[in-house]
Amino acid sequence: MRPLAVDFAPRSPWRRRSVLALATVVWALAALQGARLWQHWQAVRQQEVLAAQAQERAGLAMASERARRLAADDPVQVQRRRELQRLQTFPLAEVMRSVEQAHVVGARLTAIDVDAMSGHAQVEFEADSLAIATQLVSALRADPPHFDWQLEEAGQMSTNTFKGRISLQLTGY
Amino acid sequence: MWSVWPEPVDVYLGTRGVAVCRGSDVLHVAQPGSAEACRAELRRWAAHGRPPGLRWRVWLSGGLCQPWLVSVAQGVSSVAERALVARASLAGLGLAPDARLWIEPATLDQSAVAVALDPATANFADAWPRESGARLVSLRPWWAEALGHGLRRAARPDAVAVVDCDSVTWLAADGAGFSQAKAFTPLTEPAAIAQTIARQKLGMAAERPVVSTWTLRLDASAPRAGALHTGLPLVAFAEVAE
Repeated sequence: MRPLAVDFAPRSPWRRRSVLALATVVWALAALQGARLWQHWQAVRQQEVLAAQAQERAGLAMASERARRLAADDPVQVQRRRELQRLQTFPLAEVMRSVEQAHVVGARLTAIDVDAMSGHAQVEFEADSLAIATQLVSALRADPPHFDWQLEEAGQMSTNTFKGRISLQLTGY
Repeated sequence: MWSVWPEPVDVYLGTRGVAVCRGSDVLHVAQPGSAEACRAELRRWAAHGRPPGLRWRVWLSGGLCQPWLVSVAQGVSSVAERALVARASLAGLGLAPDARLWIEPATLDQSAVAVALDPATANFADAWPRESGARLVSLRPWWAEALGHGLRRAARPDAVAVVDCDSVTWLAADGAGFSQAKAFTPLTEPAAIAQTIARQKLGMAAERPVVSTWTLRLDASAPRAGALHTGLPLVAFAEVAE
């Protein structure tokens, strides 16, 4: 034998609807609160990410600025920068082309020395005669005309051989 | 027990009497002579002043809400089929064919107790609380509540006899399930009630069956048994005689 739950009372639809409505409201409030919490959390996270990025950028900028200042203040760096600038602007190809084009029969180039830092170029040669040596100087001066080659040294080595040195000092680059 | 809800009002309705209680307070008692008169009495009572509560529990007598046993039947394969079988037996039991039915338990592997609710009473219970501005929270036979209290006692009874204003309801066990469920109604004479219970006891298989008898008294001189049987609705009218 067991207890009997017999109950003929009609289940109130009003009560069921109330419970459903209450459950819906509670669910909606919970969902709304959850959504707001999620948004808040996302915003906080976004702010954290932005702050970290800004901090990183600031750090990089600061480091870059420091490096720039150090480089600007350091005499060695200043010197190196100037040298680099000189090297980059020295017309080496033009000098070499001038030397190659100054071809004179009876003259032989024995050494070429170019110092970009000082803007000095030097060509050592041997020629069959002094006249040929001067022809070589003229040829060098002909192209390009703004290169002021100067015969710096010339000497007779033997009866038919002259040795000399022609130099060029470039300024203003 | 403390509750956020106000205490419900217990309304008893039978074919020979009505009662209204709130907890152990008896608000109204009357013993009209018919079911129609009982319903009219309750309507009259509700019309005279505001009802004392919004939640009403209506308890029905065995004469208005009769049980009977629905045995396990071959060929019945669903709860709906069993309900059809139970409804088919209404006329044979002298009950209205359009009575409301309740069958418990819902499983098909054991005998079930079918309960029929008188249609006029069902219509009254649906409409009357609403007309009175109250809400019907339960509509149960009082004998079912007494059965529950009887089964909670230390000495588990083999049978429970519930005597109310118009009937004796007899429920007996055979192992786990019910072996008998019937209401003898109308039955109001004390001698006839005692004979009926004695006859039912003799018909039981056990040599000395334990029978828990619960009696509902609607006369004002009935002893207040509330202190003895706390928790049973209409406790002011109930007493146990085992």
